[in-house]
Order: sequence, then C-alpha cells, then structure tokens
Amino acid sequence: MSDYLFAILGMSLATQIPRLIPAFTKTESLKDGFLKRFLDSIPLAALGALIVPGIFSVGGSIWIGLIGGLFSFFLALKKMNLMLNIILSTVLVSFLIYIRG
Amino acid sequence: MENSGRFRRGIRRSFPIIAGYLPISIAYGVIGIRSGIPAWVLVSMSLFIYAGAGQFMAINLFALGVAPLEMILGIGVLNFRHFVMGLSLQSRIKSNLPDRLLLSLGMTDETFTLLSLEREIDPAYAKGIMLGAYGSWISGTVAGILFGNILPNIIASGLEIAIFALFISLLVSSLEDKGALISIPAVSMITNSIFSRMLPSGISILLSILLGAFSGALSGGKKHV
Repeated sequence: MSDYLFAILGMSLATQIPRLIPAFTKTESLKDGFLKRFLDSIPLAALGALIVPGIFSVGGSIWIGLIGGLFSFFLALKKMNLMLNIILSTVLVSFLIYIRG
Repeated sequence: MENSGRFRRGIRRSFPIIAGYLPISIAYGVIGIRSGIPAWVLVSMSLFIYAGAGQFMAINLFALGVAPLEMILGIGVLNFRHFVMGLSLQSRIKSNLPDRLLLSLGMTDETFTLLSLEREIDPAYAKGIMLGAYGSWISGTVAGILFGNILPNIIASGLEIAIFALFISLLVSSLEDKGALISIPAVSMITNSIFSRMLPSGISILLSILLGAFSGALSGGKKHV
C-alpha cells in the first residue's frame, strides 16, 4: 500500500514538474533568431519522431503499419476530414489484421 | 465567439484523440488488472500521471517488483520530452499563469500536436481539447478495469493506427505551403529509428525532437510562418 502510494506520488511529480516549468518561461517576445526557429521547429520534429518508427509496430507487422500509414497519408493529401481519415484507416488496418489471421 | 463556444469547439476537435485514447486506455486497464495491480493504483496513475507510455512502463515495473525510486527516475526520463514540447506550446500562449499551468498539465504528445497548427493558442479552445482527451483517458481506464474483455481484439488492434492517422494528418497539414520544412520531421524520423534501437522510447523521442528542431533552426530563413 505505502509503496504504491510513494511510487504514484513520485511518478506524478516526475511527470508533472517538467510539464509545468515551461509555463513560467517568457518566450513570446523572442526575436526571429535561432532560438525562435528552434521552438517553431519542435512541433514538426515531434510529429516525425512520434510517427516513425512507432507506426511499424501496429498490428505486429511492419507491412500493416506501412500500408495503414500510406493510406492515411494519401487520404490526408486528398484533404479528407480528419475523423473520417481515422475511421477508414482503422477499418483498413482491422481488415489487414483479420486476413493475416 | 464566446469562451464557452470555443471550449465546446475544442471538445469536438478532440474526437480524433478520443478515438485513439479509448482503446489504449482500455488496454491499459485490462493489462493492469491482469497483472494483479489494484484498481485504485491504475486509476490514480491515469488521473495523476496521465502519460500513456509511462503508465504502461509502470505496470511492468510494478509487476516485476522494481523499487519505487527506480520507477520514479525511469518515468521522469521517459516523460522529459514534455518539457521541450511545453517550451514550444507556452511560447504560443498569451494568457495568465493559471491558464498556462492548466494547459501545461493537460499537455500530452497528442494534445500538443493537435495544437501545433495554431500560431497563437486560444486557452478556452485548448482546454476543450484537453478535457476531451483527459476525460477519455480516465473513462477508458475505468472501462478496461471493469469490462475490458468485451472489446473484440481485431477492432482493438485496428484502432492502434488511430493515433498515427492523427499524427500523419497533422503532419500533412503542417507542411502545406511549407514543403521546404519537410527536412525537420525527416531528420527526427531517421534519428528516432536509429536511437530507438538502443535507448528507451521516451529518451529516443526526446533526442530526435531536439536534433530535428536543431536542424530546422540551422536551415533557418523565413521558411516558418
């Protein structure tokens, strides 16, 4: 019981403190310099790292993730509505997992 | 639009995240209960840690009987990427400290990326997105603990692609009219593919974000905006 409490409390602090610190930074007034470009680049860099290589473990096979990812990419290029994109990709991947058995 | 209208718009906008979070948090509840971890511990982690990969890691470590201090260090390192994302998020929020703190607590990989398209973040809208995501994470955890075995396996596995479809769509829209910036996610994809073979995923993602953003800052120019 107390071990659980201690671990949960500690893990919460270890997760929330790094989340909270940036709230105290004053970066709105940054000039268009290196640091500004660095901060602006973080979302794109994060998206890249969150997609690859994680997507290749979907469905337990590289191919399922690859096909599902390319399909979703294609729908996004066609400016498909986001929710519809997610539903169709899920249906395709469920089907691929089903036929693989 | 009124604050409450923008808040509701945020909640509607969070549906793609909810579609991704429900199956993951249900799986978390099911796996946690099957590993013999008390329900209150699983729910508390979803409430107070609220970080998917970290919580799955915690289940493993609890089951293995790893010392709490080691778990705390591990999860701290795994989630440190949120510090870097937070710097980017906060640089786009013009609001008071309570708002900024609240939006920090609600920030995850997914809410951060969903807000990455906004040049300036509207606090009410962001709170809607974050509440939708957080609510689905908690509900999914409870549902997984109570009756997770009911969800058919194939649909559950198929939904693994949901989060990635969200990320891919966001990447495509972020690059619209800014194709030159494609080198930034390309760098982080390549570096993460390499690092993730030798490092825990959280650290690998953190390093890859730093390198990708560094390459973006170096190539510079007026390509952003």
